[in-house]
Amino acid sequence: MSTPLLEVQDLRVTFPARRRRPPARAVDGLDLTVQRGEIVALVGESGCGKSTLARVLVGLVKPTGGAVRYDGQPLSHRSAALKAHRRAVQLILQDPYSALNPRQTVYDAVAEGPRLHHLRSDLRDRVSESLSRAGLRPPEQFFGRYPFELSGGQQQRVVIASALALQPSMLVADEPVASLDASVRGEILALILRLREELGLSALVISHDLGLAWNIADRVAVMYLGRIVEQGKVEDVLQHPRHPYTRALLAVSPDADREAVPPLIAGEPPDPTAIPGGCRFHPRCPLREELAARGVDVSSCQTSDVALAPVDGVEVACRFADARAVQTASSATPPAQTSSG
Amino acid sequence: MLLEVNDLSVTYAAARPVHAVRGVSFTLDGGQTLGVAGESGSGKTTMALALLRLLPSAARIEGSVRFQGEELTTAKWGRMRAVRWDGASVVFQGAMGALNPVRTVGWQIREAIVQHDRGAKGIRGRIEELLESVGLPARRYEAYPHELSGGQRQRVMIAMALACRPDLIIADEPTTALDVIVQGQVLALLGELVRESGIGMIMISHDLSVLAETCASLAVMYAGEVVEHGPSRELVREPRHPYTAALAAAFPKIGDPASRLAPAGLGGDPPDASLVLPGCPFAPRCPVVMDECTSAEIELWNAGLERRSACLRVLGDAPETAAGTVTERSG
Repeated sequence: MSTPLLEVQDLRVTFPARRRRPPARAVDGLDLTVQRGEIVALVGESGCGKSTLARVLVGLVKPTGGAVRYDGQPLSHRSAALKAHRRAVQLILQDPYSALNPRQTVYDAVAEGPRLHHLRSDLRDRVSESLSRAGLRPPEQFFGRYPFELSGGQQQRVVIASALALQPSMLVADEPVASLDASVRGEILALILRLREELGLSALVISHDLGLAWNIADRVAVMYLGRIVEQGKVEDVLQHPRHPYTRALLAVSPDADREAVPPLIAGEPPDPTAIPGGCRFHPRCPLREELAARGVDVSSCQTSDVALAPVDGVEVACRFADARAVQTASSATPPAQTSSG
Repeated sequence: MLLEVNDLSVTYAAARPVHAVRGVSFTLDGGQTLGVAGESGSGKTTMALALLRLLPSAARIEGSVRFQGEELTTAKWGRMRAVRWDGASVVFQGAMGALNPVRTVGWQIREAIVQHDRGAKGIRGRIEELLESVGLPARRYEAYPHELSGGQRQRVMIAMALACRPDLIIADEPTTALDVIVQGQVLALLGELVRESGIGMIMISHDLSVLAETCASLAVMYAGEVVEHGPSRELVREPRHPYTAALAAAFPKIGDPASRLAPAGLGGDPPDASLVLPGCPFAPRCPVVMDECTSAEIELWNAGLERRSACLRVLGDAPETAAGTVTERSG
């Protein structure tokens, strides 16, 4: 396999302590790769660190540990290198209305990036092309308009056009459709798919919505408290989830075809200033409770950390992800796959 | 009957009057749940707030809203005050903004109770019970809103809506600002409360799958009108109006090969609410539009058992329903 476009290894971002609280480990030993032309969905609940990761990837937050390599080169925070990196990797945010300057016309919003990067020749053509690629046609009709004159979907298209104007090779989209209407949602997702087809763009799409992953992603990575707990092909992970957290997320994603089910896990989103020892999911884990009730020895969940390990073509950070592991454990031998913390 | 809404219309006075809600009718009994779906601007929130006359004075309400036999559109303000909270209460979206930041949550729930029952006794105990019924520890009585998470604040809003033991709850996007797991918890809580206490509930959302899972029947609104009405499960599985089909497809079912790497959207924008045009308001965006759609008189026709749809295709002269499946029904 060729070098991945984006490679993240053991990434750590720790925010300093505030008011007698311990420091927050927003990203805590995360590994992730995105291949060229690949769309990866990163899913998890609020506070799991997914937006912090997005900010690291575009150089807005400096990691406290680990490595980010883009196109084989380590991400540098020196200003010239960072500027080039920010041209190649474009960030798209959730709320297009707050991402756009209300006093700037569509033309100026899209032209701003190229101007900052001194790409002034053929600026008008560049803006036109970006707008039509983003589905705003004919582009000239949108040049003089202000954000408030556009619908939410059109605003998000302007944000995407501003990203495209710099001819990036990757989009990092943080909840790109969460603030949009149901009918517009599919249109914007289809646009991201089309850009991959036409321009070979890779994308990391961050969302809390597993349906979005099913709609557009090749691979999905499930994040919990700063770390990936399960990743693999969308079909494998979403149809045969192995990690109890992935199962819990799937159980709450609404499905018109069944009765509402009580959520598998209780409690509030976890706190990155107090990451539990052992497996970080153990205090909320329904599988652990179930196994304990069946007399399986689950003490290792509390005492030793688990790393991602391959199970049937996907990677899972759960020592009981494999049914066979449960078998072994219930026959009173301690589980084999423990890893150092 | 708990609630009977007949030909309800809301028009905002302006240079060009805005017809936000146009001729909506439905009924709701105790213990029943109705989901109202539609995109922004479809009139779903305006319709729900009009039931309790919670709209600005520029809004003109026509038609009839009978709540427990009493006509609300013409009721005196004193009566309306009594009905709100006591008879029917609202859970608004964005619990963040709806709570008073400088008062404890217990104080705020107490206020709602005292306003309606000055002589109420044992209020503290009742509030603590309410908090526990929505899954919050009783000691949260003393908490200020900023000390609670988004999900907990939304639970407080639900507790407050239940404080006067109403017979009807209107929940306007109760989970929009919440996290996935917390959303699941709040929806499960609302469903449980309705089942256990036999109150009626109207839930508003743009997410058809959330509504279908929580509510027994669904009304889909487009441009101020109900365009489809029926039992949730069937309505989502086999839509009889192309707009419902588009909304249902927007939230894919995981595992469904048809939506894999194929997000479904709907082009175009909803019509200008100040215009009254002949024919079907959805025609300009409709993927299965016919010539007569732009001129024919559209009504909410019967479309099967307990189902109604405002699509010409259900009339039987067209061989296919809106969803594209063949029906045996004729004329």
